[in-house]
Amino acid sequence: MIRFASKSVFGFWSFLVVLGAYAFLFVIMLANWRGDAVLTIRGFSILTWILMMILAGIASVDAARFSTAERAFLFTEKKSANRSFIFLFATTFIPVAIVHAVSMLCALVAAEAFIRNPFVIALAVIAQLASLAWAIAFGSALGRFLSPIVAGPIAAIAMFVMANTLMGQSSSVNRIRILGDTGASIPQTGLTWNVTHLLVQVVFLAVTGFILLTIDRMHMAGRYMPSIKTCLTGLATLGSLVVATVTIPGAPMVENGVRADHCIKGATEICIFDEHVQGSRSFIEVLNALVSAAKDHGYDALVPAKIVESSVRGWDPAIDPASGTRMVPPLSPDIQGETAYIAQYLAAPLWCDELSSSTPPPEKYFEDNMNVTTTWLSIAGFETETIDGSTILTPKEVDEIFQRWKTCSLQ
Amino acid sequence: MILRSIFKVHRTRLGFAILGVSVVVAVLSGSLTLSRLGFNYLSVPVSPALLLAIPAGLGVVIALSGLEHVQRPRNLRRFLSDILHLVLVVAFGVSIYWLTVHSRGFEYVSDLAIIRNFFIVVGLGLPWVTFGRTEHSWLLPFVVTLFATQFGRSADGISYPWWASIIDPFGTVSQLLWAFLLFVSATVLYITDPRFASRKNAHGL
Repeated sequence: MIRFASKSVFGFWSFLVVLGAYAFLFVIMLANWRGDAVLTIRGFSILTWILMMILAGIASVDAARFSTAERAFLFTEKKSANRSFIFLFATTFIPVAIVHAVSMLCALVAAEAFIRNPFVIALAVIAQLASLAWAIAFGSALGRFLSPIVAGPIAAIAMFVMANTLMGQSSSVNRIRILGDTGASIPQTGLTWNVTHLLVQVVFLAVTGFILLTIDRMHMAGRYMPSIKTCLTGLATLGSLVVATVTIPGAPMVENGVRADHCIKGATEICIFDEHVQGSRSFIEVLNALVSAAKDHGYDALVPAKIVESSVRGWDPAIDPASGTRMVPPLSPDIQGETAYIAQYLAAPLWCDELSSSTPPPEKYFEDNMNVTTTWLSIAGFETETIDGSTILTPKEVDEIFQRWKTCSLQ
Repeated sequence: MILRSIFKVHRTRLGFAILGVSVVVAVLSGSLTLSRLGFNYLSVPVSPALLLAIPAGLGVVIALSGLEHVQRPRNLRRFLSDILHLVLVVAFGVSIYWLTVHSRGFEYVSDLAIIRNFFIVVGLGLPWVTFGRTEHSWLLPFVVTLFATQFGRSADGISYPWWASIIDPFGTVSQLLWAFLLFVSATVLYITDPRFASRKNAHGL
């Protein structure tokens, strides 16, 4: 069976494209994914739209080749035609699905990912597979009405248009992304998948994919033409995707309510996410150096009562700014060695709405922020990281700035 | 007369129709600037005319297909006629696309880049014709383009590694050289048709 499939269906080999793409991504991104299971899985979704294009093209060519006049005898009846197209689909999809699932597993193991809920991860992987399967069904539905020579590029470009209009760009938009995720490359701590979104997506893609895969054909003058009923079915199926995208609310990612609760006692209490415990040693050293230097040089305003790693959503509104708790950015390998960025983030009044509003904060704020950062870096021995054009402040000046920032008067 | 029959047995009409459509779309859309392809941002923005060289090149590849399932004689005359046909079709495709785009003077696409992309697409597509799978000649040019947008970012952020040069709108001479080398290898494969090169098959023709 496998022998026959590999010889007669080119789509069998499409797993090689998937494997190549995943291997490439794995080598480049593995260091970034470290510890973060959600990021690892969503990291692969960056490639989904590309693979959907390629798979749609390959499936389209296979369907077109099986619909040419010399193979018409294979399916004189509708039932056996459907069976043949389902066989083509399975031949293409099963190797791809195996490669996909094994890649996810290998990546999770290699990234030493901290897994909070294996069932949600499995569901997310199934949703990714549903996207790829849908692309194969879409290509197959188009290909059976096209000449094999042009079927590939036409289906790939059609898939490109579909992905561009339906997959959307920003995960903050509260609309379902019916064709799947476009991936992530920044830390996903504090986020998890919206399970309802995943379920709706999987069911929708499975149903519409099956309709496309078993779409009816009309034999006319030696070639297959779509009948009126077929055209209507196809349009209704694609239209339902558009309608679903516009009408069904539900962001793909939601906050999981987990806080950074792996706490380490150093120069002060430092709490980080379980995901980042593995790679946090150098960050902890930097944070300890910053806090000890502030203590030793008498910059009491700079000494935080507690340092908490922020989730990808930034400042946690449950924290009282008066408590002296401060936040560091998500400690991903991206910011390894970016001491200036960490110090700046640690010193900034992140609780102030002015920092996240569309109008930028006053010029004075940036000046203060730069001076405070430079002061902190130079007393902690990171002189090379200091910002040009800023001055070193006295403990009293820093105290004054921090008093103002506590009440968000940034002027 | 002979040329006409050569054109007749190949998919000249379909190939040149694809070329023509690509030229028309390139002329209409060439003044736009794409800063991203799909969901991938490009290091350097490109004109659609740069990317439409890919379907145009595929048109040339398709115009060269048609006899891939036929065992042809292996003698000098056939080699020469194949070379003539190939050079004519490729030269026609490249020059018509290049001259049209060049005359419009679009930004973010250069003459060097167009010719390079033609060589890359024909170089990656023609081997599929040689091995009897013309319908998959689109696959490698598409995969290379998409992978280039995804993985082709170099450290400085403005140039591309050699394998991703298909989306570099300006192009360098060394890119053109390796693209030409790829094209020449594909051409040699196409003309010598190694599938039928064994003594047993060649006998009796």
